[in-house]
Amino acid sequence: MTAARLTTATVAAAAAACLILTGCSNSDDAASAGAKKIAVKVTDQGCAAEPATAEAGALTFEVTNTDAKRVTEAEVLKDGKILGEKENLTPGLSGTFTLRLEPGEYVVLCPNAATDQSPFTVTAAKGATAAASVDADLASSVATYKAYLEDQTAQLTAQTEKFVAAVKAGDVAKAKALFAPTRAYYERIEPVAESFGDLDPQIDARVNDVDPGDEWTGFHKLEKALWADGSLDGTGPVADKLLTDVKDLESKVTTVELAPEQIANGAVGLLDEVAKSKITGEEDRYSHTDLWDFAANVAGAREAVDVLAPTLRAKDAALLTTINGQFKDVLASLSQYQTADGYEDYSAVTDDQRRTMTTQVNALAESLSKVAPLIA
Amino acid sequence: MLPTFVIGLREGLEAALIVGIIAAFLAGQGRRDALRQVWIGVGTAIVICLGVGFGLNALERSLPQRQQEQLETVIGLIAVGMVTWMIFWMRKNARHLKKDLEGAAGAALANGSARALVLMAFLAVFREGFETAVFLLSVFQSSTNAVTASLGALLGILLASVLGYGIYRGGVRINLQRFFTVTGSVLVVVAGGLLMTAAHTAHEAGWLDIGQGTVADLTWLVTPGTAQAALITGVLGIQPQPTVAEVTVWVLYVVPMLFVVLWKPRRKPAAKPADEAVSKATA
Repeated sequence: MTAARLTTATVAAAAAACLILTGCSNSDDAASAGAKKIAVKVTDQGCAAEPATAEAGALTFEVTNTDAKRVTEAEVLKDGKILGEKENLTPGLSGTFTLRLEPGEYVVLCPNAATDQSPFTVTAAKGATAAASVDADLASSVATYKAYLEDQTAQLTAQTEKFVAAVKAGDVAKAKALFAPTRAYYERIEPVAESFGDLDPQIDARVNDVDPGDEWTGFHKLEKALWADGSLDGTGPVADKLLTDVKDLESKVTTVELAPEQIANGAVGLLDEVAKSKITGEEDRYSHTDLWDFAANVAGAREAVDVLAPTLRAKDAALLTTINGQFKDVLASLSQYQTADGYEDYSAVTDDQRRTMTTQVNALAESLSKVAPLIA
Repeated sequence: MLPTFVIGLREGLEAALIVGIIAAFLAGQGRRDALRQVWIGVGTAIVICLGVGFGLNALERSLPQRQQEQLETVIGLIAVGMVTWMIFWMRKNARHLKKDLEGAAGAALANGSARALVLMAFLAVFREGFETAVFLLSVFQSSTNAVTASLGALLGILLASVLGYGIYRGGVRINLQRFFTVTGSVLVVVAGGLLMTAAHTAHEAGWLDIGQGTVADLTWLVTPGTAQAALITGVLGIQPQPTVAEVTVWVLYVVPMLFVVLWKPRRKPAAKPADEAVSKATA
């Protein structure tokens, strides 16, 4: 190797080394900005962090050797793994290193001291604790709501089986009686059903929602047969398909992945249903059982708010209070029409009463729409 | 003064040792040309390290410890490989080397190998150089005892250099056949020490976390903070409290290698060195 080539090689190696070294010290600088300082005094007897406890985050260890002759370095370890160290600190020298530490038990080690180890504890940062508990609350909210969904769809299947059996048996009176109570299970969770593409139109489409060329199926087709036609002739296949679709919904719900904000948005969707199709009476135009659906939509929204309440209370307690008050107003209006076995025929509700309920429902929906941005 | 002297000696010795061995080896081979490049390489490494040291100091940046330890581990392992190769090379060629002549034709060191040795000498200084440069600068700037502390550190490095030079001179004086038979086992122990040091720095680099339990307490021998400890750690890589991993790699390397060095194949009675030289010459 000539001197020139050697020089080329050395310069290349040096450049590489400098890149490695300086590149990494940048991140150290970033970490040390605003880092809490921990003093480590090295003596021949030992070394200890002062303070010995710190919150998680960036920590700068300032190692000082005033007169230790045997000990010239200090290390921070976790489970025997060296996370950071400062070497070659002879008496009079000091040095620092910065680490970003998670909560846990650590060891400050100064090799060759009489007592070479001392404990160092990192606790959870206060801000992090609050965030972690919100996350835990939301996770538990999602789990609770998921269980609710599964319970409702299971009951929907059980009730639909009875309803379909009555339809196929040609028992008009029994089918009429079962119609509204069965639908209630569907109406409480409708926004989730809507997320499965074709399932909602197949189960719940009104005749005017069906595209030309598509077949009209589901509850409302049977509703028309029961109330308007007064005949169940030829409805067997529709009844069978309804049961198949409902079972399909039940199995799909078990695998659904929900985000907290979807639960909140679902509650808003339920109230929009109320304002859009229940208040007008178009949903159940043959049976006039709209108040059943109305009540079920509100109950579904109530459940969503209840499962999210812990987080909501922490984030905006005033909003939760407002929402609870508005729910009370809506339920009070509804209760006027309650009967022994359900709700009055919707045609009995006057226009004035409908307007009052519209105002109440819209106010509640307005408040509920503020929930999703809070918890997302 | 003593603590800085000890560190200067320890950091300096590891580099001086490798450079000394390589220089003696090359000189013994009559490769004065390569030897000159060794000195150039060493000088370049020193200049670069001082430059980086001053640069970091000016920018008020610290040397990232982990990367430094990783660099030391890698170069340390390369050095072990290099010394091992030298041991095998000498074992193979010692027999053919003329007693009084430098560089017999039959065992001439290939140019590529000489270049590799030059590069190794450069890397050996490079390896410890950063840390030592930064250490020296902080000692010079030390608020307390700056003068005596600096003097100690410089004396330590000076002594290390003298020892390295001594290895070189001693290695040159005895011919290569003797160099091998006398120092072969010493080389094995030195390489074993380098391996131990590499195991130590690998742990500090975050690469090796198993077998970190202490095997023995050698602080009676390697008393921390003494020149004696610096010599033992610097030359033999022995830590005051060696760990399972350090001892394991040492034993796994040193035992088979000593066997290689000390085991001598029986010579055929007929093949006298003189005849051999004649047959080589006529071939």
